[in-house]
Formats: sequence, C-alpha cells, structure tokens
Amino acid sequence: MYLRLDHHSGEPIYRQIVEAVKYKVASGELPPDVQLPSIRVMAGQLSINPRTVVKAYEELEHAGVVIMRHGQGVFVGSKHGVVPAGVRREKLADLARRLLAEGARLGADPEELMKIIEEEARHIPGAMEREPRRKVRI
Amino acid sequence: MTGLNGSGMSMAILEAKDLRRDFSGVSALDGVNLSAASGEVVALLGPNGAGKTTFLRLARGLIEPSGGTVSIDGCAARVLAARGGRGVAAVGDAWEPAGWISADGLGDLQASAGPFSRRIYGRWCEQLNLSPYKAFRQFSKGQKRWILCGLALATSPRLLLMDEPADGLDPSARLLLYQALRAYANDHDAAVVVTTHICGDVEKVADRVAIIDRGHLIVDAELETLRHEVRQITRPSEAGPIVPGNGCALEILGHRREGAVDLWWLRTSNPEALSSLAGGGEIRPVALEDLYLAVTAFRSRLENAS
Repeated sequence: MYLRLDHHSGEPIYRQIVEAVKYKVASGELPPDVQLPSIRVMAGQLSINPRTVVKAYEELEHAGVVIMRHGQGVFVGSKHGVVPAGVRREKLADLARRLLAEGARLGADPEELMKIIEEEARHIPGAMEREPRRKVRI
Repeated sequence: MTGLNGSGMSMAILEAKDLRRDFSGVSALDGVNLSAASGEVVALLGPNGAGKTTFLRLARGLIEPSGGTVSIDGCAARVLAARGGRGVAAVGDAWEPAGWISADGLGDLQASAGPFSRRIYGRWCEQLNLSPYKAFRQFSKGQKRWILCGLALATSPRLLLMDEPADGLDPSARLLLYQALRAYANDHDAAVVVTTHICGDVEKVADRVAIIDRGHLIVDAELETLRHEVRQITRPSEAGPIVPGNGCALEILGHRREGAVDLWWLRTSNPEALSSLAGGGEIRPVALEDLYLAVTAFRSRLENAS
C-alpha cells in the first residue's frame, strides 16, 4: 500500500493515514476484507513511530472502516461495514451538516455543493456506477 | 522484539531533571527537564552555543552536573559512565579514531570493548559502498560520520545520543541515516536523541522536538501535537497585536514584522477557532524549521528588550 505523508500540511500524521485509508477504501483500491500492513510494517515503511500507526488504526476501527482481529491483523471492513444502520445514518447526517455549514461560510448554497460532490465523485473510479437494483417483491 | 500492545505507555530511558551546568561561573544549561522514552526519537534543536552539546555530554556522563540529575534507566549518568557506559552509545564531535585504522579495524576495536554486531556494522558500511579496508582518514567527512554512526548502532544500545550525526552527509545519505535511526528505535525499543541544524530531515522521523536556547528548554512537544496546534498568521500590521482570549486559549510563540504585515506564530488546542482571531489574515500550518527560527528569534528579542 502506497501512502504519501505531508509533514507541512498542518494535519497530524495519524490523521493523514486515516484519511488516506478511508479514501483507498472508498475508491476500491482497498477492497473489503483485504488485510492492511501490520503496525510494525507500516511504521517501518513510513519511518514513523508504531504508536502513530496504532492511533490511526484505532481511529479507523472506531469509524468502522477497518476491523482489528487480535493476533491476525487489520482488515478492511466488509461492504456495509460494522456500523449499525441508525448510527450510520446519524454519522452521514452529521457529515452533511458540517459540509453545509462550512460551505455557507464560503458563500456556497446547497445546490452548488451537491454539484461539487457529484464532480468529485466522478474522479473516483467506479464511484458513480450504481449497483443493479434488486427486484422488490410485492 | 517490540512489546507494543497499542496502549502501553513507553518507559523513560533518559531522564533529566532540573539539569544545570556552569562553566567557570557561566551557565550553559539552566534547569532543563527532558526525557526520552523507549521507542522514541527526540530531536534536540537550538542555535550554536545553546547547550545541546553540553546536554549530551552530561547524558553521556562525561561531565558532572552543577545541579539537578540526569539518569539512564534510573542510574545516574556519571555512575553508569564510570561502570563502562554499557547500553549507551554516542556519536559526537569529541572523539575521532586514529586515521590509519581501516573501517574493518574500527569494528574489531569496538568489538573488543563490549557487545558489537559485525553483521550490522558490515551491512551499514555496505549501504554507502564504503570499503572495509580503507584507512579512516581517507574517507570524506560525511563517510566518517556514517562509519561512526554504524559503530554506535552495532553495539545495540538502549540509548543513542547523536550530536549532529548527519554533519557532512549528502541529502540522500541523511535520509537513510534518519530512517535507520527511526527503524532502530522501533525495532529495539531504544531511545534516540539527535541534535541537528537541518530541521526538515528530523521532522520526518522524530516523535518529539525539544528546542534549547541559551541553556533553557523553550519548547518540548510531540510533533504530532505541533502539527495540529501551531499556526502562522499573516495580517496587516495596523490590525495591532493578537490578544489571547476570545474564548480561545492560545500561546504566542513568535512574532515578526515584515514591512506592512505582521507574522504571528501561535499555538492553540483549537486551530479551527483561529479564523475569528486572525481578522481576515492568512492562517497557515508551520514547518518545523520556520517554527524553530520564529521561537528562537522571538526569545532573543524578548531578552534583549528586558
């Protein structure tokens, strides 16, 4: 797994790892159930303290992106994640509210934001392809 | 080898408490509290004559403190040094081997003094393609540095004290060296203290930065914390000074006027709240080098003013 760290971005390293892994999971580069590098290997690759990797993995686990299986390793969560549906809905709503608020600060209305979201999603391979709809039995 | 369980706090290997040292009545180090834990890489920065080398010499037990204590795994540095200094390895400018000894011969010499891995040392020299048979004096300044670092690492110390280890190394070798120090701390649960003038290198691998100025420790913080909490604000001078308050706890680390704009370096646990304070100014994250220059210059102006 290739990660690039920016030491001058004002973003702590652990958070850069969290964001990079989230992005790779969202873009499909890291498919469900795939194993992430161990803490030691990751710390070695990035030349950072293992504690920083631990912190990133713990946050990713908390966010439901990865699962840490004791003695086995760290794995990308399976498709619909380990987050309960209600919590998931609330998290997404929270994210949307924050985006709207930040957007408003920059003078953007919801319509503009939605356009930008669509545009950005097109840059992620496969993100805009919908899964075939399941037939609903009546 | 790492006893890493994710949550366990690391133990302090090196611990200095209220450490002081005078040289003929002049204070070189004045009440420094600094520690280095197992698995930790600490970058020690400071202007020339700030007290960095004095600190390292005290930690090696080469000189006696004028006050306070410095200990390694609970044992006073002077006592440990008198017993042979096992577990502590240092690279400094004080010692240079005889010029006629070959790189290989230096390994033999080191091996006769205590635990030493020829395999680690040999591989280390191979990384820069250094001939084991060449006399030490024939190597360049940077290559000599590299050899001394290899000698230190191959003794598998608990504590590595490196005074300007990258001095004279080219940028790619510097990177190799710092990555090796990081890996060494990770794999052996060792503590590494390294002084340097080139902040950009050490910023990539260090866990903590300590800035010493005129014998005082003025910054001691985790780099992850600084990345999150330190910002530079640029705004017109007419806006006046930035005043702490406004429900936003902050510490002013530095200030400089450049023509019609003021540059401020601030530390706050809530950088998101800074925008209201900046008053339309530009807020930017700070590279370690800029922070270092800002705090040391700010301190010297404050002291000159008083």
